[in-house]
Amino acid sequence: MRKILCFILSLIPIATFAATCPSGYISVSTASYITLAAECSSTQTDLGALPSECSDDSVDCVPDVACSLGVGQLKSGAGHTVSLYATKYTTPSLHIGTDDGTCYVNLVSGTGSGINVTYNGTTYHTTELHRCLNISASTTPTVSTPSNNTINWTATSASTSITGISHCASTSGSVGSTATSLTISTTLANNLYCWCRIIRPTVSAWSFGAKYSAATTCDTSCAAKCASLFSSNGTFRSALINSM
Amino acid sequence: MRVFYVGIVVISCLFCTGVFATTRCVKLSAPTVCSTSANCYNTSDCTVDCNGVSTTVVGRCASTSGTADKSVATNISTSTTNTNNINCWCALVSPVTSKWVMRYVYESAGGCAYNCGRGCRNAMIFNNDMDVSFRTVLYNNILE
Repeated sequence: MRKILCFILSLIPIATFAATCPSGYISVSTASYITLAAECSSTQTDLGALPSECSDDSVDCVPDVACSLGVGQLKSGAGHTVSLYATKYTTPSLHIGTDDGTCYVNLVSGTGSGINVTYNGTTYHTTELHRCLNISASTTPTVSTPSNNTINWTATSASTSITGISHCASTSGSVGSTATSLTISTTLANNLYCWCRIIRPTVSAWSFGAKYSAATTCDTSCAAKCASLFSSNGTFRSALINSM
Repeated sequence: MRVFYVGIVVISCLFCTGVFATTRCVKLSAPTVCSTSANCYNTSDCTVDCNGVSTTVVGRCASTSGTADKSVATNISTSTTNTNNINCWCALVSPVTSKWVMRYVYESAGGCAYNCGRGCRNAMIFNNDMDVSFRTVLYNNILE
């Protein structure tokens, strides 16, 4: 009877409820095609590191993976901050014991900007979790053809849903060129140049699409041009994805 | 009794492979008034500083109408008659992306092209009721 109860209890997972964000933060749920890992693979796009603890220094954080045993982060005298996690994400990893339990620090091979550790003759460095997006410019996506005169366009790449926007501007360019901001002319007829951008699952820079002979034609056709180029033109697609 | 225990095991296993969403907390808050030295005229993007967080909003003139500081849209449209593109809509693109939120209706399309980016900027850097309302709507419509 006791053995059966132990077996049953061992199958019940420890409940992990999504943590609430502290005051001054908004809560965003991670999309299913974004994974958390100490290192992103070569086929993934690294969206950046995420500390476990929300502090004045962090723009964003993932509190529901943080170590909750009274120790948030370790800070070295040299100013390196090491996040402690409730889960072991790497092998090997550092185990930080407290009176209340154990927290984990990610280790990845090689020297790095974190704290460097030598273990069994191999050098590792500490790292935070990274958001890894399953998308690659070498994968040909499928796209939907947007209606005339809309601004949004959509695509799917290896099960990742993509939303983009378009803009007609007076900033010129060529396919492959990118911009962080566009000039929108008060003289409407000058806004001949179609630019495209991905906004979801994360934002890219503006990538040049095409030049039209009339601004009204640009307004009509730009979103469709963005979708078409994203599917057919590797240079355009790389400019977008590599600028995420 | 054996059937009862097997049933408990089966029910428990239904929860064994559950996937729990990860919550990401982004340091943005509607009461926070942002700041910038940029005037953001004639521009698509405007970047402001929101309590240390670099935040970029995109402004877009469209023919899609709405209620200022209130209406939300997933997609907006332009008119073949480009003089109809007088409605300024704004969306967050950094550090998170949002849906489009209506900001202002201008007298002319040229006026919208000139001012829309600045209108989005003003919604982030001023503390009038309409600006706080705009930011509340914006932050409540994040694209996940």
